[in-house]
Amino acid sequence: MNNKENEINDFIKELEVECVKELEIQHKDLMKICTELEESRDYYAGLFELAPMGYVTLSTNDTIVEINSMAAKLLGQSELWKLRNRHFTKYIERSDKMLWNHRFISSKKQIGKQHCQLMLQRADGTMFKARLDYVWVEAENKLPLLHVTILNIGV
Amino acid sequence: MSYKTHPRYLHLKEQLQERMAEKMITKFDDTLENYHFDELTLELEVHRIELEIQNENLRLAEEELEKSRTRYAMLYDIAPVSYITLNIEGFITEINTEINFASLFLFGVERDELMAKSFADFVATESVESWNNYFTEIKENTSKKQCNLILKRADNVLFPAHLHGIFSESYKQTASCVRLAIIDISVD
Repeated sequence: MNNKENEINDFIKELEVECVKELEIQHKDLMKICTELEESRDYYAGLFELAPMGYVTLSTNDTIVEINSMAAKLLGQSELWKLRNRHFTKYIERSDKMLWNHRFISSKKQIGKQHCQLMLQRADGTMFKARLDYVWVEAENKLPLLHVTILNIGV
Repeated sequence: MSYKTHPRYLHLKEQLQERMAEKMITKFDDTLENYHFDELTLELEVHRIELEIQNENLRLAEEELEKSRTRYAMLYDIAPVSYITLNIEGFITEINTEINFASLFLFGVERDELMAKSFADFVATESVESWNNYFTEIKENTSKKQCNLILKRADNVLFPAHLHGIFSESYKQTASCVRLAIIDISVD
């Protein structure tokens, strides 16, 4: 190695040591932030996933966007992913479909929460009386989502 | 060496050249590959690149976590029913409020005032026994999941309520608890 190379090596080393120190501090901070965020995310995710009521969000065309495990259980489907993107109306008993469609459309013009009672039909064809509470809320992407909770109010 | 084609390495090289030029240590040409680096310099450089990549990934993870936390927190807060969490002694540990102020409406008090109060304080005298039995049943995970009670607001106004409760075993950082959905059925 000649002098010039030594000089460059020393300078790079000095610079690298400085950068590595800084990056290690950042790394530690980021790890801490991520751990805290993950704990907090898991906490809120638990509130949604393990809620005592069924809970779904519906897009403006009535398809299921988000669904929790109680909703899936109530609708007789253990695999959540099978319910996503399905039309919610599919799970409403035939004679109540009109009522829901009407409610769904008219709810768009109203502010605040509303509720109704109707019969829901599980995947296996059995039915139960449900109370739905719902409210339109704008999601982060500015598209409105209908937040619907489902309670089985049959015996 | 493969790291020499890594964008981080190229970026670093650029930075180095700038710094060199600034300090005018030497007349530095742009063919860094032609210089002979000693082992330690190379090791440091690789370590630095690794750290940069890891930190970048952590920043992306942070962004994703933040987004998903906000989404779940929102789902909780704007749920169209009152949703309360009780510890196994029956004290309120969490309550949603955001959009319809359902809980405030239900109990006629501020959210913070409700935290750490016993839920039994909001049960009308005639329903206390039913509540105690129901609460025990939820914790024992028996099949009964719902009940109707008369609840009492902080201003002593009574109203009929429909409750759906489930028991949640402890998981991760969360202690075991009872989760309750409550609707006011006086307006049905």
